[in-house]
Amino acid sequence: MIFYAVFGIFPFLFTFYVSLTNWDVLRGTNEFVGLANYAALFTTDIRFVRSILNTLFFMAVSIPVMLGLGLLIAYTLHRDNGRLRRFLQTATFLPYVTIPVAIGFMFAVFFDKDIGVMNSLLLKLGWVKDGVNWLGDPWYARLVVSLMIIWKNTGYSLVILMAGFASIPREIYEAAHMDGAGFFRLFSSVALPMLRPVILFLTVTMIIGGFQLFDEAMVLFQGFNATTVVGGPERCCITAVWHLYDTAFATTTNYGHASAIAYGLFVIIAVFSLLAMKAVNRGESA
Amino acid sequence: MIAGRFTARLFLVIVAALSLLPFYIMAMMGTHPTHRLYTSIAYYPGDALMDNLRTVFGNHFLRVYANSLYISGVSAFLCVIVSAAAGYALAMYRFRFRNALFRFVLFTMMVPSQLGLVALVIEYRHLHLLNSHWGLILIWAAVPFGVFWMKQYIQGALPVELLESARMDGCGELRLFWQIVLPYVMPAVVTLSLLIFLWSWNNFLLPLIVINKPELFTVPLAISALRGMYTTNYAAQMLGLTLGTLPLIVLFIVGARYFVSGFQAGAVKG
Repeated sequence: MIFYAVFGIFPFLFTFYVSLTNWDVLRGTNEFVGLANYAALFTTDIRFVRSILNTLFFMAVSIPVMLGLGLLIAYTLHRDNGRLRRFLQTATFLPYVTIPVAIGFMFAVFFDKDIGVMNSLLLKLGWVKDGVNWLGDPWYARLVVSLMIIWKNTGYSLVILMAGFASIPREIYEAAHMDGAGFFRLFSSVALPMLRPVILFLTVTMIIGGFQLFDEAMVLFQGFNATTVVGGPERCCITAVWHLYDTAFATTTNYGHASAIAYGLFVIIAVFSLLAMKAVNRGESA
Repeated sequence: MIAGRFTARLFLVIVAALSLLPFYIMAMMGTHPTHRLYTSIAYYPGDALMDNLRTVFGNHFLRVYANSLYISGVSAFLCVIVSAAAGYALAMYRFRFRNALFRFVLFTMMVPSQLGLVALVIEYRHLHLLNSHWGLILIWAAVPFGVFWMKQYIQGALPVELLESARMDGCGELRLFWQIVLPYVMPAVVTLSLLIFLWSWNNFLLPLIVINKPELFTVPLAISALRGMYTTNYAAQMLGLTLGTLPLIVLFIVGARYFVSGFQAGAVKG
């Protein structure tokens, strides 16, 4: 319980206090300023809103793909009990347990302008004339980040969905099959509705995880030739946690503002999780 | 039907390939001299593995390994002991505020860990835990998920009669915990320690802030610093990357069953 107090509760409460001050280590200020930091989040600090929008974009692209792919793989696999299933589960899950920093690094190499595998491949196929500057262009860069998220997390979505499929009683399938339901009908009318709670759980965890994106993105843009720019080209890929880190521990040492970012992020995560739950629940009653 | 089967198989093979290919290319790139990486894709093993190995190990990479191994090992051990004790207490003892306490644990499970970051760093500064491995270990003493996980498992698996008969035989509470409870919930202990080991090994943000002496670096820090270490020697960087990811891949393949059950049990962790 003491551990809990020192490393669990204290930081949360103290961060809240710090978020109400203008504590800055380098400038040596530490005064109570009330809610000014929170107000600044939405006025002077354009980067905060931007980082939230960025993460929303990544999620909008990646979550449907991860769920869709996961469902598709899980559905094709769920009646298979042999080696193929275990192999595929392990193979797709590997990226999920790999050090996120390493993933960022790998993608930085693969999408590098000069030595990247992606460009060599495209050049060889003759689809492009010059190497694409994947990580230098804001929209390409956003795409690479989304792709990275998809590659990393699809295995997780698959593993959870497999557990979901396993919980559907076999008799239901057999009954539907008897009634003449085909492959796709079985999927859309039987499996999907039964899986709703699992899909909800996945969506919420992916939203929470999505907002916390940091390691991969930061290392990705530290990559090879790019000089380290906070947030990637034109700050197109800055994420909320990255912004928090940068504000408190890198470019500036503004603890007060960073704490406000942390709480702002927390509230946003909570709101989105609630919205996701609501949305899926409504779908259920409809 | 046969065509359908074939498409399904083909689809699965492509998925598996896409998952594994990046790892393969990463490993292959580490075996080539850097200049060749500019001109061709590394499909096959090259001949510069030994050279690259020498470069990487010349730069205290072993030290980094040892650091990470030590930190993750101690973290996992600490977390399992604390979680098991707390979970056991929550599951088996009746005391005041028990339910409130458990609800509190559930609540903190939903709070993202970055929330307390700033305060944690200030706290560390006062406790002199900056630039110390203990700073990276102690956070794992309070993992709400661990408490939740152990409580659920103990509640489901540990028969109350067993405890009672042990007490009848004059077994003290501490001995009871070490010699009866812990061995009885071994599967949960293994899963939890693997998960904590993994999370601790992969942890990047906290070490990035807390540690700035190269001799204290953990694997993720070393990976992110690779670029600075061998400026343009990409092949050596890739080899370092391969070596850094290898232990976990092995650990995962060996313990896949435990990992998967842990995640499926509803591991909510960013």
